[in-house]
Amino acid sequence: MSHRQRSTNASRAPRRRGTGQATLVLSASDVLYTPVATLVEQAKEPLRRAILTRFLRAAGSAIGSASTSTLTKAASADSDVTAVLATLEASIPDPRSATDEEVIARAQLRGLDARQQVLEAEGGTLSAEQMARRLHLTRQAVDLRRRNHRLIGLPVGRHGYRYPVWQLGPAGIWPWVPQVIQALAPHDPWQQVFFLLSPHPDLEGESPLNALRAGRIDEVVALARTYATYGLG
Amino acid sequence: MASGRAPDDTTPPDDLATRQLPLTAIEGPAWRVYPGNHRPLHFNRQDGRFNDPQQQYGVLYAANTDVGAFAERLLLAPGLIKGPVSVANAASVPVSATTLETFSLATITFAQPLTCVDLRTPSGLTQIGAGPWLLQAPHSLSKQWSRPLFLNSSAPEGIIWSSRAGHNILSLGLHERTKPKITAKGLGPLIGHRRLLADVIRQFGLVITPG
Repeated sequence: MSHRQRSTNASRAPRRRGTGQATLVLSASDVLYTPVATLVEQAKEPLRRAILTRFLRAAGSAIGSASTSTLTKAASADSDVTAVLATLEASIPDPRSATDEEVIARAQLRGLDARQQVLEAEGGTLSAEQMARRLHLTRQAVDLRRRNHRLIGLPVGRHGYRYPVWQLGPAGIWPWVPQVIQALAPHDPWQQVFFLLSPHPDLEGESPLNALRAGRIDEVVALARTYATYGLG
Repeated sequence: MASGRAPDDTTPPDDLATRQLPLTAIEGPAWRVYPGNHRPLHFNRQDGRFNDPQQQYGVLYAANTDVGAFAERLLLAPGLIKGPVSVANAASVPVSATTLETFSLATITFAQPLTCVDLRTPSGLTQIGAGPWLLQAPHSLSKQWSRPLFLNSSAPEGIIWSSRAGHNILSLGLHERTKPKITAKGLGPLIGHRRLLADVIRQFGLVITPG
């Protein structure tokens, strides 16, 4: 694909020109112009080009097959990523007729949205720098507390770690935080947080976090240990 | 409920160790999900629905299917994750991708059928002086029933019951005395079991988060 800037009074609709090799022409005023130009620039590197090809193929298929209802809902999403995920997910066949790999792919797509929901839950999360400021510590000291299992840090890829703000009380980190981390030790930080924020059948459907806030610390630590070594059943 | 007991009495009857139990012979295989850095054959002495409060014998927990083993060991209750815009109100249960890499599947085979206390039916639960509440109750309560069943004169080798997770899952708690009769084979991390994962997703609305 090549791109070419046209005068601002040219047609805004992308169109193909010539009778041989198709050339896509976009007006600079077209909302597609900047993202497409960025993609073309990035696609000069072979690996990025290969992934971009698959991205575009999947996106084209998803957008082409999406219902108006799906597109309307996706367009109203809060973020670009959410809009893309919603459109892609709708393009995967119904779980009852989908292959195992399609079902897993859909669950992974939904997992991206779920992860965002968890990052925003119960007051959201802080960066290491923000957590350091709140605790009057250095960033390195916050990192050390995470590695020593005294504070939950959620790994978010190249962005490092996000620290759930609900770990903080009026006097710093709640004393129960290291206790529940230790009790949930076989699990990674994400699964630990899923446990703490999900309704629990033995807490009258309340989440362990809310029970901790209500002072039911020994009870929650025992339930955390049971989940870690046995499960909920 | 046994005569002479209050209707809300959740403690085991005094004669449970000598009472005739509802017994059944269970053939394998059974399935287990466990931390991949542990041994696939492990009798837990601390935490579980029918563990001995005195921790004098262990219990190996398993299920009748691989999906059941996954549900029993890892699933959380739905409610944390809201459905995406395209699947409004769909119940979702999150699991981290790391969990699927660090937890493994094992199959448990029996050298011969194992004699288990059968709590799958209301009549079985009534026979021991309990009710369906025993399988829904907090473990602090259900654990009290482990020892008198274990010490019963019929020397049962385990307990079988319908899982709180539903979906016709049967849970097995095998007493440590079965160790010479059972074999466990580790089958590798859950992430490699694609049919199992897809089935759990279909049945329970599992979503897989990165990291």
